[in-house]
Amino acid sequence: MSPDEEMLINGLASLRESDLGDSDLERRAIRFQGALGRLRQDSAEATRIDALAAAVRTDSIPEALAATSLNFSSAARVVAASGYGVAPSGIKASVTVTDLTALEGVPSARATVNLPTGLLLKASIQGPSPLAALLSVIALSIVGCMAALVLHVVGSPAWAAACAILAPAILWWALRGFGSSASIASFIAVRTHLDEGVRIAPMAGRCAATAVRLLPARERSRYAGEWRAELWDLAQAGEPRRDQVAYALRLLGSAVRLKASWPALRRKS
Amino acid sequence: VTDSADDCDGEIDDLYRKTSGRVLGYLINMGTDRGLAEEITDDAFLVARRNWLRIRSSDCPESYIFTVARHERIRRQPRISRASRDLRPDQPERLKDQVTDPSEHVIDRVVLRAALLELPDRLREAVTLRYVEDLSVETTAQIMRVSTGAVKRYAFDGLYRLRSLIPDFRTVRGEEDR
Repeated sequence: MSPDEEMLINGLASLRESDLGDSDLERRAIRFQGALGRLRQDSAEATRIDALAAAVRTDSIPEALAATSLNFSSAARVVAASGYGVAPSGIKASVTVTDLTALEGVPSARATVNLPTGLLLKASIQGPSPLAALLSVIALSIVGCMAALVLHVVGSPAWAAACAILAPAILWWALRGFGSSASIASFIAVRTHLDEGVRIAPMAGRCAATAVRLLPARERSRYAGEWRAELWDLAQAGEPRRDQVAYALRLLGSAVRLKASWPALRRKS
Repeated sequence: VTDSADDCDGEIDDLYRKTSGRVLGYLINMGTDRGLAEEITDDAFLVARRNWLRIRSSDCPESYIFTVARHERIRRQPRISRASRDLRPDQPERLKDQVTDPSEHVIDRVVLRAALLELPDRLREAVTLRYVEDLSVETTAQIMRVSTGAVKRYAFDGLYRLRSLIPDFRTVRGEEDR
């Protein structure tokens, strides 16, 4: 620890208010004893305090959502499995993509996302593009027909029939990823449930996402979670959309500064 | 084991005498008016009293009280924009006008508190809980409801920003640069 830092930390410790005078503490303690007495006798006061306790409790993370996983077993291509976990009152969870293998071009793409606490996951899944799907259909049809024709000419009608049956099966297998977006429906529902009443301004969300993209890839998930949670805090506190966007723009600025300072920080470390 | 209401009241009263100063200090350093801070502190301890049989068996009852106080602060403290803060009659003294003697190696509390109030909420909260109230990283994380890694980063960023805000450090750094 540098002397500067030590001086600063000592200075901060001097701000502690626990060393208040005895008379002040006594005054507050007497007042608190009075409040305790009221709490015992006055049912309205007890109800008010219970409501405060309940408000804190409802903000805690639902335990059922403590861990979950996503499995994409389809030809869909996972475009982004980045996510963030935010529960009411700004509880954040980092999203760790534990198994994101074979995503490109392999039919059985699979991504498992573990959320240690809470769940507010955004995962974009993209099926084959319409053009690619059309070309696949045409190519497979041509190959299937040609193979069937060749086999018929050669004199193997059984193989020709097999080809004619297999071609649609291959087509079905290749295109089953079209329905993949349905697999995240339940997670979106969970998100909506957690998000009830709190809505981050879309423009602010987009700015934050852009800011995250400016950062080095390995730092993105951490900053995405934290910045998103900060925006969530603002939204929860009822800040107007304009302030949320302004905050997100400041994040954008700080992302630029962070990106600029990164090489220097890495050299230092 | 039977716990009479008087026993519970006695225990919570002891805890109040021991801990209320820290909770109050946390709220004041977070920019809450003293009157409101005292109200919130009392309410947080009353909430603890209502749930005392459950809370006292936990490792750190203080963290629950801090959590309630934090929640109430967020709910009840009016949000003051930077623009309107300048119009307040009791606005803090400007940092740039402060003249301190760097040779003393002591930072003026007024300067430090004003600098602390300039920090964004999360950084201020992390710095206050970690360095002013001297809570552990884990307890701070529990109160702020973030990961321990996030607490460390907020605290680090907070200290870094404080150093850039306090004239003493700015002077020292400027001399070093030259």
